[in-house]
Formats: sequence, structure tokens, C-alpha cells
Amino acid sequence: MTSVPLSARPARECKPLFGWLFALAVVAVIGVYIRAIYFTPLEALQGAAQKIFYLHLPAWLAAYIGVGITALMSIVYLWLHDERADRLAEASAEVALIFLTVGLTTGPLWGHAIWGTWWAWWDLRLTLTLFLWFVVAAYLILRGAAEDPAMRARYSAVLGILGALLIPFIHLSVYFSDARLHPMPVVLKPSAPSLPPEMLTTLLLAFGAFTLLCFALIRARYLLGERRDALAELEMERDL
Amino acid sequence: MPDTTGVYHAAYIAAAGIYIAYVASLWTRGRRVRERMAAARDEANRAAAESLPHGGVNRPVTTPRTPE
Repeated sequence: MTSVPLSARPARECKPLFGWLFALAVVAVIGVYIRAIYFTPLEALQGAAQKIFYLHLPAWLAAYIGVGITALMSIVYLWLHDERADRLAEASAEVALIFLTVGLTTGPLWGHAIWGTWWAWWDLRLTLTLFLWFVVAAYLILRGAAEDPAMRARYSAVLGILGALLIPFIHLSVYFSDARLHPMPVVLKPSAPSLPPEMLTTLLLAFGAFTLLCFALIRARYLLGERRDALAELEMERDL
Repeated sequence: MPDTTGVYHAAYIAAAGIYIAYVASLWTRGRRVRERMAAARDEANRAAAESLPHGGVNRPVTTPRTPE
């Protein structure tokens, strides 16, 4: 172990968790809220409940980004054994769980208003998204349970990769079965989006704002992980 | 058109609440780790100082002996 005095070490753990990226994301999300509430027209059949769309769909997109980064960084960790990849995978999974929770909260509220039910187990997309929530939650619980860092990183990396395999099934689930509540895609489809321009603009702005928020939260959570690892190192050195 | 304003408000408030709660959790955890780190660093520095002769303070000053 090096004998560099503690006070002389670079203070990597002192970098603020919430920087300019987070501030920009907060401003963008507030802007999307204002635009969606005050400057986007009501949908003729669903009324005000349709505006949940501008939070619901971007939350799923951000969750997919989080789960995707977790899978990618898990592959990088298994290949290179770089602890930074493991830390980024963990940060992305935690943030993905938050966006998944938002999606699973706003969805049933919208569904109850429009479909007349909070939940239907026979709708593949609903069931698979809940399953993804459980996989990501299991990933984080597994990390909390394993004490050996190398074993924790390796096992959770496998789970992180498996979780991402659900995403294409969730997106394509509406094509698999006719017994479903979710409509066919109106935006993320091969042909042009079938939305009026004002609604499409709000949705695209919401995609941008929540993607920015996703990256800002992942950055903050990554820095927290770095700070926590530095503390563990410091405490281990102190106890020697 | 059905009146679904209540549901729409509930969804917007719930989403904002979840995001704010998560940011507050990150902030709290960050502050806790920073405090523990400062305490651990102080303790380690104190232990290092105590391991020096005379606790690292008031060390006797040795002056070179002048030739007679």
C-alpha cells in the first residue's frame, strides 16, 4: 500500500453530486411540465388524462436507457474487470428503477381513467414491465447482499445483461397478442408518428428533458458510488 | 369528452414526487458519506500524528553543537 498522507490525496470524493447538467435537466423538465399543462391541446376522446402520455412515455424511454447502460457496462466489466464500469452499471440500474417506478405509477392512473381498470395481467406489456421492475430491483438487492466486491460485480453483471433482454420483448409485445390493452405504437414505429404537431413537439421535448434528467441522475449516483468507495478504502486503511 | 382532470393531476404530482424524493435521497446519502469521510480522515491523521515521537508536537529542537 502506498504511504501517501491522507490529507495529500486528490479529493475526488469532493466533486459535487449535482452540477450544471442537473440544473439544466431540472429547467428542461419544468419547461416540459409548463408546456404540457398550459400549451398543449387536450385530446378529443380522452380529455386531460391523455397528457399523462408526456410523462409516461419519456419515463419508459429513460428507464430503457438506464437498463441499456447497465447491460452495456456489465459486459464491459465482465470483459475488462474495470471497477468504474461496475459502478456505472450500478448507478444506471438505480436510476432506471426510479423511471420504471414512475412508468408503473402513471400507467395504471391513466389506464383506470381510459380503460376502466388499473391493471390487467393478460396484457403482455403490463406484465413484462412489472417483471423488468422486479429484475432491476433484484439486481440492486443482490448488490446489497454480496460482500465480496468481485463476486458482487460478476453476479450482478449477469443479471444486468439478462434484464436488458426483456426490453425488445416489451416493445414488441403489442404485436404478439390481440388480447391487450396497450395500443399499437403511435411514435416509436417504422412509419411517421401519428400525432398532431403540437402534441408531437411536446412529446419530443419531454423525451429530451427526461433523457437529460436520466443522465444527470446517473452522473450524480456514479459520483456518490465513487465517494462511497473512497470512504470504504479510507476506513479499511484506518482499521489496519 | 370525459372529465379526467383529477387523474391527470394525480399522475403529474406522483411523478414529480418520485423524482424529488430520489434527488433528496441522493443528496442525503452524499452528505452522510462526506461527513463519515471527514471523520475517518481526521481520525487517520490524528493517529498518524500520534505515532510520531512526542505525538508529532513539541519536538525538541536539536541545535548543532558548536566546535570548542
